[in-house]
Amino acid sequence: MTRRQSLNRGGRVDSANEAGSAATAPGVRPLLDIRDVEVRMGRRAILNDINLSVGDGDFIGLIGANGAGKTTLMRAILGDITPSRGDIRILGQHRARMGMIGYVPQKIELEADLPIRAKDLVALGLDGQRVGFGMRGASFWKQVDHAMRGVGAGDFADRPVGRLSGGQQQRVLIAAAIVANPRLLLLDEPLANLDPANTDDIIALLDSIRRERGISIILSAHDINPLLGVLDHVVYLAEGRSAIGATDEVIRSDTLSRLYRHHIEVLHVDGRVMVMTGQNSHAHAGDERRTVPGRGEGADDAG
Amino acid sequence: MNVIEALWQVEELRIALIVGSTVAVSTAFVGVFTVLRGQSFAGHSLTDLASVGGSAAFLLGVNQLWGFLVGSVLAALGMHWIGVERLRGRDVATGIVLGTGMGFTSLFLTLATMRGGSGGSAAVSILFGSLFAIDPRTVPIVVVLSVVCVLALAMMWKQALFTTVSPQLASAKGVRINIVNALFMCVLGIAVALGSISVGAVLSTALLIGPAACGLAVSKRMRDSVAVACSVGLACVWAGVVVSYESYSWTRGHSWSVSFCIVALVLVCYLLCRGIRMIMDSRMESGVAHV
Amino acid sequence: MFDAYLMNTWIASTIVALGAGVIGVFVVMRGDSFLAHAIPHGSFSGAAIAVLLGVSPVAGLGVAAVIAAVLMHALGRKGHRDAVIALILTFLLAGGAFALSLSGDYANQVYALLFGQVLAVSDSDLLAMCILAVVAVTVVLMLIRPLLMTSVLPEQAGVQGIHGGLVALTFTIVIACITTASVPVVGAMLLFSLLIAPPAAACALSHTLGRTIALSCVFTVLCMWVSVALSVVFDFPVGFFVSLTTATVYIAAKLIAKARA
Repeated sequence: MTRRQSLNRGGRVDSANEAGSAATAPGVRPLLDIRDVEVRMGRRAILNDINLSVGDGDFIGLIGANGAGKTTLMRAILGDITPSRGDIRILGQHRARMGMIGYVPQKIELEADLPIRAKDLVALGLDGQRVGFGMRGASFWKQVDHAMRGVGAGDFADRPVGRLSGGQQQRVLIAAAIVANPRLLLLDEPLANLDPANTDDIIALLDSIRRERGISIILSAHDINPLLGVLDHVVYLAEGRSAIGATDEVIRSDTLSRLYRHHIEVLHVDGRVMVMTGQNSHAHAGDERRTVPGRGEGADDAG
Repeated sequence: MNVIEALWQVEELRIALIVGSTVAVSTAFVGVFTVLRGQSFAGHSLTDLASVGGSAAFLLGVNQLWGFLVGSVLAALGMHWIGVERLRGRDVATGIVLGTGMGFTSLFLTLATMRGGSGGSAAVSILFGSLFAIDPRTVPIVVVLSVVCVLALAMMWKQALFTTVSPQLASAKGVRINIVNALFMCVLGIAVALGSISVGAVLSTALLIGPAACGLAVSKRMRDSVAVACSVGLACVWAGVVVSYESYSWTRGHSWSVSFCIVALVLVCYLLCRGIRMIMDSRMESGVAHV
Repeated sequence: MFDAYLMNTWIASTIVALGAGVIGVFVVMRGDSFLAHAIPHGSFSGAAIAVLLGVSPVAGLGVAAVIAAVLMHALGRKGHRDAVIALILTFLLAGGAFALSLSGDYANQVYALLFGQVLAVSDSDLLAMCILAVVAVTVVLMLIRPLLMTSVLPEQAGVQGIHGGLVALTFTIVIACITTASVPVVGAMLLFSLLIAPPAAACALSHTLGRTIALSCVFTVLCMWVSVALSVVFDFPVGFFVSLTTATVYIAAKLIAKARA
């Protein structure tokens, strides 16, 4: 009974958000519409009652500890995972049309010896699905060049992509994701391995992409601080539950305490927020059971 | 019982059963740790390098066991030195080293065959083994090495398990990870050599990984896993030896190779164990659902 | 060395080398070296059974290689890869040796299939090998973009409507084709070296795909020619020289790349 109640109270935060979102685009169906989505893995609910509506040019942050379900939600939006309950629609359709979504995944492992230049990688974002020997014309390369300049990757377009730095690779991957002019750009932990200077650069770049190209952005991160100035909405995921709304509505003691079901203190220090969860830091909430190796799997994935 | 007594009277069968049994137990024991530590690939690669040693020994006319042993233990220490975590199936450099090893094996075997005249099938036994062709003088060495393997691993059981489950914690508690890992690789090298002398260098992976994977599939506890692994290993070797020996009379002269029988039985056992595991898992799922 | 009876061998080894040179680049880029190791091993039993039945070994190789390819693909996708696959591979090798032991001329056949042989190519075999190599290379070139996409940007491939599993399965069967074409000459144990080392060397030396493929083909063809020539002179298995020359090329390329950097 208490569980239901707290979810309902979480729901009130959602509806506040939905009202706000509807006001920006009355009568128009939203770019992305997520309703009552639940995703289960076996018996465990990874995501529960997720409601989110994204309009053109929105900048949404998915915030949560490792294992809170950020990647799962991304993959559900991409259509790789089918929710066990609820509905995800992109411009009213269940499956996004090709080229509608650009995606930058979490882990990038490009080997140093990969015989591919940065611009070849971006070109794949435009015609990677094509079968056959078709040639790439001048207008094709112009579009690639335009996307690369747009993300500040013009200078290293001819360098082998595996030898670029992490920040440079991040830019190239973003260029590959936006080269086909998608409506929605998903980025999974794009800031995870960047130093502070690069982090700010990438965020500024994403902000300019959504302003200039009108592409909506959903970005996941475990630390909200670098994103405080740019996010329109925050989706805060924890322990299978969520709180959704404007940044200052969600990152508050009472909202987060409801989410975690124990007292959470949110401190504002020098324009940064700190989320204090009592004795144990929430960043480790979902991790513990993952690091214990499962005996059964041991036999299987042994190298 | 009478059948086994009758079999025991035949000398080459007796040797096959003694060698097969001790090797089955020791490799299964080492195998459980190998699989658990995620080093199956290292174990598999060692066989390629053990065969270089075995074929070189064959060429020089030395007892093959010493060749296997030197090749495999040296390779194991080399792997430890490079770092076992870095060796993965997709790593190109590792693959090329193994390929070169196989290349030299082929060279040594060819040279030995060219020189020895009728040495052809003896050379093939380096790769595919034959428990029935083992030199009686090798038996004591095999037994001693098996005992050394089992004792060494039993003595470092706790440390080996600790460094497997949580290397950081083990290090914090004062376990000397580097030494434990190096010792384990030595033991693994010996086990691979023992497997190679029994079922052949190419096939010894089956004895090392197969029974161990069976044990880990059906049991949740380390001790039970080891017990199951050793039993499966023993059963496969015994059944394989008997089937191979008896097949001589079934097929009028074309006896089935003992290594093939053992490997086939190991595969069957493994598939059975996976089946059992799936049934256990589905029972657990439905049981909880009812509660 | 260039006698008439060796002509088929020279032609076959050149074709095989060109095919392996092109396909190997993608094997290396996709990190599929495991498949390049497993499929030839698995195909050995097929050739052995063909010998036992008195059928052309190339036919047996082809059937077994495709079965092994599909099997590896299915098992690999399920996630529990290593233990099962290691066991199945050893079983197939044991089965191959067993099948050969039932037919006469045991040791020589085992050798030829495991380590390669110069005099293994008949006219009909040569034709089959040509067709297989051409088909394999054509399929790879047709699928060049989806193959790149699924190897370099696997997670983005789905967004662009690429069926990653289908591309992977197709490529696995391509490896089976080139395996079938190559094993009679190079041997099941050592085909891996030809498929991996020269392409990896080319990747280390060149930054664009076109040049890498061209360089890789140059390396594989040179390695094969040298290996066949040495094999004719010394009467050792082709596979031994293939493993040696390809490893040399790889090490040299790595050293050159290091010196450049």
